[in-house]
Amino acid sequence: MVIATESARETQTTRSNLVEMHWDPITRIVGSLGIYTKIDFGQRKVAECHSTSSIFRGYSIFMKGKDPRDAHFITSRICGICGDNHATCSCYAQNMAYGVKPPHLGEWIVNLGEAAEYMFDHNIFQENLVGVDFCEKMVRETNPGVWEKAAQTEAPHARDHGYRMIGDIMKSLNPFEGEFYREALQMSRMTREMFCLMEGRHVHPSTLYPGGVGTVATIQLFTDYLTRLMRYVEFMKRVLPMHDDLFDFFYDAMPGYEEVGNRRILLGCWGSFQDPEVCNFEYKDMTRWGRAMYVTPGVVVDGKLVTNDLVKINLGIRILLGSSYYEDWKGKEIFVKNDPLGNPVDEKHPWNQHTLPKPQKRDFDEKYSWVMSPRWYDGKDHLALDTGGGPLARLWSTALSGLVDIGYIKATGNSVVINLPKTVTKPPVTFEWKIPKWSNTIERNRARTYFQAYAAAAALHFMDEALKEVRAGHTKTWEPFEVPKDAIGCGFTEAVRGVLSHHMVIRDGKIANYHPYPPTPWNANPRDVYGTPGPYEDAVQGCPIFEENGRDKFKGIDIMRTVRSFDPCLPCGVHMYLGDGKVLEQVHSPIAGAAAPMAHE
Amino acid sequence: MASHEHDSVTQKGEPGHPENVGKSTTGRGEDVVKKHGKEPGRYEVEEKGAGRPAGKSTLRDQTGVDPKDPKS
Repeated sequence: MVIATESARETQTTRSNLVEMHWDPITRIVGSLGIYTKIDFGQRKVAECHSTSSIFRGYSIFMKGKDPRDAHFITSRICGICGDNHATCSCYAQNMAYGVKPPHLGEWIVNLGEAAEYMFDHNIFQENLVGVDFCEKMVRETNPGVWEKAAQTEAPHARDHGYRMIGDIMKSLNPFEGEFYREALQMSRMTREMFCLMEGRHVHPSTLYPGGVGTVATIQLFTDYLTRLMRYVEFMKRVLPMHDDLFDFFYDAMPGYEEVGNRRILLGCWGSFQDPEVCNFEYKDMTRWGRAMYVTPGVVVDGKLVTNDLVKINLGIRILLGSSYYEDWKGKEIFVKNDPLGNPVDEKHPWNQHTLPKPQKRDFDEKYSWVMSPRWYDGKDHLALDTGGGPLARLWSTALSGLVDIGYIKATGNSVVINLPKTVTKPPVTFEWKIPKWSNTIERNRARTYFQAYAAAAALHFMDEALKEVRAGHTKTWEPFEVPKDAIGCGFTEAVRGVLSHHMVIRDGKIANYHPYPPTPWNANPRDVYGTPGPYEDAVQGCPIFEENGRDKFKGIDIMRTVRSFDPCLPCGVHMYLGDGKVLEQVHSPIAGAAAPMAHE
Repeated sequence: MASHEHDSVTQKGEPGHPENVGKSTTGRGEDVVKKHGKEPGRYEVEEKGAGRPAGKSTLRDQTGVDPKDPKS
């Protein structure tokens, strides 16, 4: 819902222009996200933004005392969208704690399942949710001038995707009736089938365990996956040029649009897809096997790679408070004083976190969110990294490291080249994602499409490797293990929308401490103890308003595009209050234009 | 007077008693291996890559009805 009120703290000169507008809840994420803004309609920009979460989950509390072997089943339920990413990350952490290594085939099956998850989730989010923000109906409502231009602008890659004009692309994105919108739904179904072939069930896998998988590996299994994958590869050959045309058009049609959602380049990627030739899940070797991942981990600051060392990444994580409803755990028990390499582990590190909830009234000058403020400490500053919605950080980090080179994918140092083979109706195609100038709304969305192609290309490699194993008769997919009395473990991967880590401490064979850190807390967190705003707040604050509507019909499309570019979810309902005691309620659903505002006193 | 070993609905040692809170309730592959040994028809081969285990299987893995592996 959206609520807009006159700001109580506005100045005389801006009195008629500064309006508070809220979107709460923005659903489909961990907890319940609300975006609270003050919009200066005189300057046509967002003056202030606060990001809040009103739901407390408490996983880190009720994980205590559980059998560690249940960790992936329980933490999978954190999310109804990317539960398998949690299960995978938890299994990585358990593998480390138990000292077990899955057979090659088990690892390839996990990689294939996770690749299908990226293909599925990015597809449905990009085409059926983000696409609505860029569809004909939405653009007509928010920027009629832009729509007129789109209807008259030829699409540069029309030959590749089949839509002659930019306006035709926008029409195809209209919810429920647009041609491409409906095709994308079919693709989502198919990629979900691919996932289920590998991990048994979507979205909470039934065949994923520490030590490997329970999936029965046969030629038929992989053939069923491959036939679907090749249809997706063909699909990507149309989708990628189509989105390039659409997003480039927005820069052309609205000069200055690069400032929408733009923030300092502060990106984190924890890496994805293990290479069983290198990865032994031992902490002492984590630097080496982290760099061998098929999506390279990395911290990127101001466009430069700070590190791609998972050990450094791990030790730099800090969980800060400041505006969150928790008590500080300073002075409480330290679970892990040193990592297995002897490095000191900070009190604010997830291994040592204590969760001490302290519910209270929301106050934007004090505490206003259940989300803590994860930061990455570079030795000097606590950096508010974001994930770029996932793909932007993944591609940026992988490109800069230049380590991935598997034929289907090559990281060059300043770009990522994706080679897709011949498909039923299209010849081989090479795409190149080049490091952009900005970490902004459009580039987060563009990267998502490129990463869909990346995931498909990576899956082709995993398929080749998996079939080699099966043909060699190496059908073992799982290795038994013992749960040690005392151990620690950590897992790093990429949930669909960005960094994901699980930190576990085992004592007396039970979980003594467990902290999952998914991407949305990194993106949606509030101001920390140093006053540094979280990434949503930072990206929305100062965001220029390009929407042509005045405040009475304001939809906040530029703000919504920005928040959604981080891939949280969509606002499902809008309740609007406009000064003078006049309340407007309107349903703001993905069906652009379907709901007329209702006003009542 | 109820013993402290019982709550209002369960007795100590029964499923659902608070003593079982946090304990896994499902069967585990590693427990089965400990109790019954490795499944017939499966055997280990040399480790690969980063010390990863590897294994193959005979036709006994697929059927218990007088399986005959091809002559090598």
